[in-house]
Amino acid sequence: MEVTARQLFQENRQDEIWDHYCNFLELSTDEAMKIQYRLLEEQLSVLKKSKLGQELLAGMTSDSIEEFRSKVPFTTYKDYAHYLLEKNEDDLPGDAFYWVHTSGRSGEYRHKWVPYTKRFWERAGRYVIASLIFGSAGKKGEVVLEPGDTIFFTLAPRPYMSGALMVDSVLHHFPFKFLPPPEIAEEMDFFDRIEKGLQMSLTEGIDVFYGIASILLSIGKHFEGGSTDRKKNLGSLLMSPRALARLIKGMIVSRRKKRGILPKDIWNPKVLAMGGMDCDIFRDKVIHYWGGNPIEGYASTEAGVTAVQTWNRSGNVLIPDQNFLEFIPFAEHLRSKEDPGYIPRTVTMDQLQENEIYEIVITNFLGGPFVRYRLGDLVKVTAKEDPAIGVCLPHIKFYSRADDLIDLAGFTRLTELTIWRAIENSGISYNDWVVKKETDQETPVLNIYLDASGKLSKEEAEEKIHQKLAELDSDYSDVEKMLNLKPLKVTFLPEGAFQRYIQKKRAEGVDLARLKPYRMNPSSDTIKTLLE
Amino acid sequence: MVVVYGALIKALNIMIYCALVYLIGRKSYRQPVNKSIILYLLMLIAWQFTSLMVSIYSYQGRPDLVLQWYQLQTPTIAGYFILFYAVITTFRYDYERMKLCRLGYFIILAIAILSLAWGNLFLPAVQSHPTGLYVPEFGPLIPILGMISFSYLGLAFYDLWRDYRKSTYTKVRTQQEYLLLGVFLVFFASTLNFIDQLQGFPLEAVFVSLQAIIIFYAVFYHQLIDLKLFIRTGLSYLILVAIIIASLVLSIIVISMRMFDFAGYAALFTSLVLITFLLLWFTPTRKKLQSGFDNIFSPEQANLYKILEEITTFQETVLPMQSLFKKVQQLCHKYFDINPVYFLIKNISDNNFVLWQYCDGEEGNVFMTINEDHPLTDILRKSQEPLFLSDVMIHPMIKGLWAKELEDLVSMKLEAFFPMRVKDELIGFLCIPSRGDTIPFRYSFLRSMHLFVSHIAVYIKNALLHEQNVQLSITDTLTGAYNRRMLENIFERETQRSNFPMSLIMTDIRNFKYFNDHYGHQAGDRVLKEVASFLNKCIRSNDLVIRYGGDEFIIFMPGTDERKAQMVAERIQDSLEDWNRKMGLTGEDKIMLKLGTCTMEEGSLDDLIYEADQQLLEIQKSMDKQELYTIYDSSVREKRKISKQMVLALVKSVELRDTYTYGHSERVKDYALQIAKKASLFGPQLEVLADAAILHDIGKIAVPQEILQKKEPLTEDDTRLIQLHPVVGADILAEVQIFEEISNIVRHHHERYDGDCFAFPPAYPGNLKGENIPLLTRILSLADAFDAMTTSRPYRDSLTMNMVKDILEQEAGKQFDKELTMLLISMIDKNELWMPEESESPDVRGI
Repeated sequence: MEVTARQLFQENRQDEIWDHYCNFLELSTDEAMKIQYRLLEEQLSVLKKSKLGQELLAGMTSDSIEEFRSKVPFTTYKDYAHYLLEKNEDDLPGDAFYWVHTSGRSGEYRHKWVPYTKRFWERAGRYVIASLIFGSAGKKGEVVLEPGDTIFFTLAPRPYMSGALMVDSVLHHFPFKFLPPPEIAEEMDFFDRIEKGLQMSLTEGIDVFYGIASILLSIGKHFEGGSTDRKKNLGSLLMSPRALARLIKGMIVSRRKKRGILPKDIWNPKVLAMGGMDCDIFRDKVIHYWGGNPIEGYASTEAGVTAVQTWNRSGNVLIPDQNFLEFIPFAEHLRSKEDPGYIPRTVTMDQLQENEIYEIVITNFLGGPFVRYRLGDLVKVTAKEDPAIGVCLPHIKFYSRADDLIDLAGFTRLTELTIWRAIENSGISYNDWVVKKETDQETPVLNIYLDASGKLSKEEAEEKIHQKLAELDSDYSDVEKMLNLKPLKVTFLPEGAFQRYIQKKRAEGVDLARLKPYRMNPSSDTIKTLLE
Repeated sequence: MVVVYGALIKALNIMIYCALVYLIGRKSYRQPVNKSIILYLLMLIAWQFTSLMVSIYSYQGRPDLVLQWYQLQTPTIAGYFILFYAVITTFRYDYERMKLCRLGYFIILAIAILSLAWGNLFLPAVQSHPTGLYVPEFGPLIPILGMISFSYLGLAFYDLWRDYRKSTYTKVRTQQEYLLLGVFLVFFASTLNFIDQLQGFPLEAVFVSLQAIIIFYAVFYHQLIDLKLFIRTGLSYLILVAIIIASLVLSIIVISMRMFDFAGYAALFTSLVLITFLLLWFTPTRKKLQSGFDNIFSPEQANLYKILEEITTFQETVLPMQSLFKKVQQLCHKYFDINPVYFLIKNISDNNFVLWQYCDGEEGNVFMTINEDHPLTDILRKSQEPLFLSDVMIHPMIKGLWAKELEDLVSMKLEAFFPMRVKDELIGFLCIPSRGDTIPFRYSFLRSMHLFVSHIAVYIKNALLHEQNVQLSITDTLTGAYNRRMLENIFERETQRSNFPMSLIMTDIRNFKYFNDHYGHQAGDRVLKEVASFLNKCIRSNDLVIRYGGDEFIIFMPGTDERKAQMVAERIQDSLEDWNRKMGLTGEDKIMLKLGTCTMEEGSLDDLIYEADQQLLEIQKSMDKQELYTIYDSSVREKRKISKQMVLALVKSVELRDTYTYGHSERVKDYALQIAKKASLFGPQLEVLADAAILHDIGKIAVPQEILQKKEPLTEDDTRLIQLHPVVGADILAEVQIFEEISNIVRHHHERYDGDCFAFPPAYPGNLKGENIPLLTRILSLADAFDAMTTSRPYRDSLTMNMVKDILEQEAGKQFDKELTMLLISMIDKNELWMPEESESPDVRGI
């Protein structure tokens, strides 16, 4: 019964697209909670009929939501592994329509398989489309996307959730044209795929870019640097008048502005949709290269799409009808970390406080399997509502992975984002980095392993990053002031260390999602490999 | 003068186009449709500007410049047609056709280049025209230009018409009608060019402007006026005005010719009389005219008047709901060709909506109830205007819809909901079923229907109030159950129908006094309400729950024999425990019911009630006799509680001595209760069993700890000591007055059902066997053994469920009661047995 944009276009009802996809923004928090409770009620009745559900809800004697929140324990993937890794579909609460996977952080499982029911799948796709509509809109109600728009897509392929959702579900909703087409792209290596996509987009144009910020950035740098490949390809481009026209236009614009040619001179994407936490770090650079302000979202394999950013690029608006959302206040989260036996209290969407940090806990709606599942993410509530655009739902922003906080002498907890921003703001030219909390003579030390490309002494690098960190995090600066301790150390990695690491992992046949090392507290083996 | 007026009109057009561009740009200039309309308007501006320049230079008498501007105008005319087609294509989002638009852009470019370089090929010269404007002579390329332009116009018409025929959405269809009107206007305006007499008059510009406004209106307004309604009203008033003017002119002529002699006041007076007469004469004429047009263009509107006349007859009396539904359905069928119609009526008592349809016969057909918290209820309640299902489906609250609810909503196949309101109060909705892929309803129809529904709302409201009064007279106000009057009425009706056998269940709340005494009379009232609601859920659709008086209820079941009545009674008793749990009522707060059943083949209502009452008394006596159902006074309860706590502490201490059986008593209690419930035991029996299960191993206090935890095989002495524990336990409990009854259960809990003392495992001496062993003891014995097999012991691991089942099957009728054992096995097979996790023993947990 839920109508797709594809259908609406066919029936000349395109002016209803906004209402069909983006109307959740009209909800008040009370209405959103009504939806949350209703769908949870439905989900509980569905869960009770399944083996998995019966196991998870064993403590419940009634249908009350209060009892659900007080009696049903929090879960992790371990609680589902038996059912999901072996794809025991008969034991699940809903019929699995699509199996997606993620590699998981811990590496405990090669792939963490997750089933999506048809309803869950369609709803998730709906919110991806909503996100793209917001990304292209300049104001409320504006739908600029149209059938045949091209998507340059650089996320993981199917059956990774990002690839699966983007390709199959989004295509179900909207007649986009993928560059390169998914059937071809999935046969190719990740980097070849980007290369091919770029070539095609010279002819076809880019209406939607969907990928990680670093790819956008590297394309920008590639253009700014005046790649020799481009000159080599010029001959073949002459065969395509559209590509040629695009290049000529780009060259005219860049000449007029007296600078090198940039992607924004060639393309004018309607949407730059980005995932990953680097989105915030590279936002200004992306705008410089591509002209558009990228849009982000908050999604995960287990929860589908949880929050999306709107056209004014403030925080991500929470979506009320994919998961029952509970939030563990930060203090409770810390307490439960220190004492694993402690059961932290949760709050619901309507009880969130502005500027507070919470750990997010989800229960799938629409027949999904996850119940009170700790995603392991910390989010910050940026606003309870946004009167400027008339949205009454809470806005959040990804804060950190729950496991990635580095505690420094109890004074501060540094996130990956803070450290990354400090390195970026320090002006040091770098390829990549990792950080590990170590101890030096019983003193905690934050050791940043940096693959830097410029000539810079270790002390200079330490000083620069230390200063930026102190600027970004006042608690960090207190460590020095109060303990007279400078907890930062920089270790230069041999140049190209990350490139070699990736090559090595690729040769070992490691999964795409684990090619790069984790930045926060990687294992000693990883450090050892990087230092080689 | 024509030239000057023409120039003014063109200047005005340019201003109109600029205003439209501004309005669209302010809305959004990035949306594809808007972008194409803006381009189209810019082309119109260019055309009108060149046309304006032609007028200006014609006025100045500069044929050379006029020719130049005419040549410049050439690409704008072709461009206008092509861009109009682009607007239609973008509106339709037909990307195959977009290729034709792109081709069109190249054509515009080519014509522009050609007309700049070789303008003579299009327009070689200009000639003066009587209007003062210079008109162009057509060159050899003009026919080609005309062909291209008309091809695009033809394509626009073809594409739109094709879509229009397929379209099933009222709004889209109306939009398409307006756009088709736009195409027609362009075509009409273009043909004007071929009429020589009209050359020089800016008629084309006027029509094109009209078209631009229509496109803007069609694309940007969500609530479009029905085109037919628009034409009908326009024509109606046009003709009316023409007749009035003609009549006035005629009157003036008559006055001036015939009344010439009565000039002055007399003439004025005569005129007034005439005008008054004319006005009086015109009202019915206008009505007739209107009705004529309505019949042609809008039969719904014509029907509305007739239908409104018919419903005035409703005022004569308050119609019962069903008769009213029937009448409304007949009217809708007769005048609107809709059959059936549905009524979504709000219940006065609980605000839920009930979907009705009138069916031949006495009773209406209720399809479904939509609860107050249903998203549809929320959406409908706020609606003042008719709602389509498609409107409902895009409401954000609909996201809270369950899969089943969505299925139901779709299966109802309703298309439109017309609110029925009396003042501000929403009574309900009249719903029209979907007509599939046929032509959608017109706005004019919806308007007529909406007016009709608004009129009938008040009659529905009256009918509802009437029904409510009738309902009140047969309902118990406290509980919502029916009252004795209803019972008498129904009994009489069913007796007349000879609907025998009739059965009756009489029930009272055993511990009603307890609630009143302990929680006050308001709590007592709540209990009565809840029990009425519970009984209503347990009965079948033809049964009635009647509050007979005090805490007594009657369930009246016409056409029901004894066996079926018994089944209903059993269902009530079975559901009671679950219901108590759901209500959060535990221990002494559990509501307990006594049920007496009676069935008769003939007789009076009093006989039936008397019989059921006697049954109830019998049950009460039997309960008293067994002393299982003692109603404790508060002091006894308090004592029992304290004693129980003390003994529980003792049990704990026993379990702490035997780490392997930690939590055993609790688990045995869980199993025993589950088996007992399955065996249809209820109420206090369960309480006694629960206590016995908890206390059954209390005699182990006398067994040394080293024997309890021994991993090696037991010696004969050890075995003897262990075998004493039921007796020791029973003796301990017998010392406490309130546990006397439990003492007996504990004493025999190791008896074998077959009484075989030489079997393995042997019966602990007690000299009881078979049915002589109390039922509760047999259940306890089974539960005890089941837990022993499914948990680990010092000398072995827990057995697998298959092994347990095998043993149970082997021992059915030997060690255990056969029926109970089979019951347990079936519970295991059906996955109905809830198994608590094996508790960790204290030392494992490090306490």
